[in-house]
Amino acid sequence: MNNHWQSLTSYRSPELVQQLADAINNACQGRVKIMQVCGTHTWSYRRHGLATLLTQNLSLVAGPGCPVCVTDQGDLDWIMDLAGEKQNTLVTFGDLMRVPGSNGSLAEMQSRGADIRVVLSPLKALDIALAEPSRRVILVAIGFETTAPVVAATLQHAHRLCLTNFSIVLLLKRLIPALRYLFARERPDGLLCPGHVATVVGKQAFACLPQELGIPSAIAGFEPVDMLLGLLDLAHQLKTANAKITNAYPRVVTEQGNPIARSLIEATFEPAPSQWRGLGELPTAGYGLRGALQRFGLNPAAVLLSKAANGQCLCHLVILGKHTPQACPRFRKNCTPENPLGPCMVSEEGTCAAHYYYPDLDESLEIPDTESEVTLQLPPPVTDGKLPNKK
Amino acid sequence: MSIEFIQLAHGSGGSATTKLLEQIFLPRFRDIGLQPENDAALLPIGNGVTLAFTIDGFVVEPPFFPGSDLGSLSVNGTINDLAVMGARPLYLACGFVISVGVSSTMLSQIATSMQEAAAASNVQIVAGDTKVVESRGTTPQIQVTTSGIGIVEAIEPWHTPRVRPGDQLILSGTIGEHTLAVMGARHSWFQHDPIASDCASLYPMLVPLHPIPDIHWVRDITRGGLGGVLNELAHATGYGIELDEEKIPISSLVRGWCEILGYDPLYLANEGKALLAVDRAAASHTLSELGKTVLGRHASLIGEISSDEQPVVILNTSIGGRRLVMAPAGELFPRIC
Ligand code: SF4
Repeated sequence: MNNHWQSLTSYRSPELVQQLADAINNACQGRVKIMQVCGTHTWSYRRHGLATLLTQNLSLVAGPGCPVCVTDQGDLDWIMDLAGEKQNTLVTFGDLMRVPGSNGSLAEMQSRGADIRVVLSPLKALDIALAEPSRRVILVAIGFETTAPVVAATLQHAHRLCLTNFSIVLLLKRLIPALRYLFARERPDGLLCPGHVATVVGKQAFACLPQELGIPSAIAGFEPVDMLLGLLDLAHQLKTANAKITNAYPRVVTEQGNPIARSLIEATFEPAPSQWRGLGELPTAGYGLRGALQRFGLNPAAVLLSKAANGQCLCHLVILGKHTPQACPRFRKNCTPENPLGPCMVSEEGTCAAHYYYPDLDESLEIPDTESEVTLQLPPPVTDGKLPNKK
Repeated sequence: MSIEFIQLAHGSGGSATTKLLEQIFLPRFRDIGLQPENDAALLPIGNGVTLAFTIDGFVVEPPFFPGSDLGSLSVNGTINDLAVMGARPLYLACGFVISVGVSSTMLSQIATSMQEAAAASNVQIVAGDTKVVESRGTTPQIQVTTSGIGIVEAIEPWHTPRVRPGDQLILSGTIGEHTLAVMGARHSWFQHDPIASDCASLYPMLVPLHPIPDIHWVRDITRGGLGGVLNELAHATGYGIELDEEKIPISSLVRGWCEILGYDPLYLANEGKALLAVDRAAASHTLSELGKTVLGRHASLIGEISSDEQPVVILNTSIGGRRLVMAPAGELFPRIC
């Protein structure tokens, strides 16, 4: 770990960052709108304060690349319904815990006694199913091509173990088909493609975006230098009006991706329709289970249409880059990470959460609600009059 | 928005905790003497003598983790609440809430750690209480509450009203170890390269600072992490804070795991780290005194109180950018990818 970290620090070199920022600022003469598909890019950009180094000509908008955020409200309600059934043990990634459903969040359900376990790896669900045979263990699988391989491995292993008390809520999504659909209607000037998805599917999988839709695209990693290299690629493509896919993350991403991960996905899933928040049902932007693995899949049909979506939340526009979080009247007022009204405020990759934790420097920070405006009182003087005045 | 049910976030030390205090406890206890902004209450008893008095409850799952356990945590946590008020910790009382099914071996181990931690700090455990309750969740639990009393030795009080613009902020060592140690033990992470909790008594490190009049304020950085403590300080004083990310000591192990897990080290809890606000003139003397102690050997000057009247915390990032540091919000959950 030590060595790995040391090797990463060079991707945070202030000198290199400044050089790259200068080059980008020089190349970006007119206003351009770049979509950073992935929430991790949004976080990295804001957390390192990159905006303070780049020209105002360059605006970075969010894209549909946060797994929690693109999950449909009906699916979220379905998950909560499952968690509410006594015999069920719900196994989930931490990101989902605070997402609001129609009847509260999983965190609230857990505090009322629901059996919900947070794991780092889906494989852990199998350990739970083996150790507690009387429980019905349900893995909630959300995520993109990055998460799909390990979920595939979990399913294959469950099959080998002949588990009967394990099932899956399969909400994994395929990013590239969704992007094609989205950009057929409206397109940004350039696209910063997520390095981790490309690690799995390979550079070539993204080639359709510039080829069919003419959008300059660059695959980038998540360290400041990686991101800036991607942005510089885009700035050059825009300058020369030559749309292609470039790989600014070659230390990890190859032409064809990771063959083992791809074949696991191939053996386990087939493309299937999927519900996306803000986009509706997209024909091939999800996964279905193949053959014998189908027995692990739970079928949502009965509940999908059930409950109303969360009326005033603008997440469906935020994830398409059409609205900034600040444009939402609830942002930072009654919508905060502790009391999120939409999924974008919850996830480690959510755009609203990224803007909440890492605000613009000049943003006025309003206090969430009047009750918490009560400030802590300063203590009464405790020693004999020695206290200097505060101001 | 009023709180309906208590959730884990209400105990995380962030703004949910503040909300809980503000809605339930402050309105009722403030008028009868509560000093909510201090880690320990300061009680002048005449003849220039001031007592420091505090209480803290500890539950941790699992109770044993690399570097420490529930026992030493409950003793050192309370010692630290006294020590950061410039006091010498003297006496502790402890209360146990033990759920049915806890093994006596485990309880003995925890009591032994308490005994050792108290002895190491020359503190006596002079009173105690035990209660046994039905077991609720799946694992039987032990909760320990410790209360402590000490005598203030610092020649000037270490508290918020003395903080002023230009004060230098000194962090006593690396951050993040404690949360990762507990999370690691809970989820069986980092088995090849375990991260040990930093749990320790801060008293020996702070003693040499007692005679320095220009130490204005000291706080131990526990729940809510450095980001939490800095935001509380900004709000309590009304001044802004400027930080240099580069100067914040973080071990490469913690840094690397935070990247993987999606944690911001600024919000991780610590159990043996202090943040100090000192007059600019005394900063280098304070740093060199800290540097002579075992716990303070990585002490670093990380920023200062600015004269900005906006009570916000600004971080100059290590790559040369600038951003705000918000107060922590809610419980930490590891992310998906
Ligand atoms: S601020 Fe909250 S309510 Fe508004 S779009 Fe974001 S998550 Fe939805």
